[in-house]
Amino acid sequence: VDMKWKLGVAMSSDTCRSLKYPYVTVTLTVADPSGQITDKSFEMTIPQFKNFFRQFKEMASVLETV
Amino acid sequence: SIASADMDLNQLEAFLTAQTKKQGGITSDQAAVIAKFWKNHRTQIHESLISQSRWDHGLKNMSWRVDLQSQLRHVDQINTPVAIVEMELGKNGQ
Repeated sequence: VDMKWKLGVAMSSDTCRSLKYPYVTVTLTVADPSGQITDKSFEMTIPQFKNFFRQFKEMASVLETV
Repeated sequence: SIASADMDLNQLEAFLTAQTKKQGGITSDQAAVIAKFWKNHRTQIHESLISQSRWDHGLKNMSWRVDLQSQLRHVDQINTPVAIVEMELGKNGQ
């Protein structure tokens, strides 16, 4: 139904003063077959996000050629 | 302290030198060993600290396929390509 994203940088935490860890958070709003809407959020490291992006790019390319 | 600050080589050298000068501090041999260890393992240690601060769901796995919908019961849509994506979300260890 919908997709939201945000790019964040975790600066510090209780276990590590200098984290400097960039990440992408995605929230997908999905409707199940019964019509019930739920939000699913997940976090990706930058390499994971690059793979995520690459997969969708591949999908888009296949969708166009089908 | 070294891991928490994710020290670079300059900071590391300054920190270890200060430790050797302290009363009850480390020897310069110990400083050299610590420096070598940090240089060799810095990335792994930092990544481990990062994973300790990730509490939300992560994307464990993802697979997809593209289907060609030929016909739907109530809707007159034929030959519509549809991408179906399966994402496995989980927290650490789940």
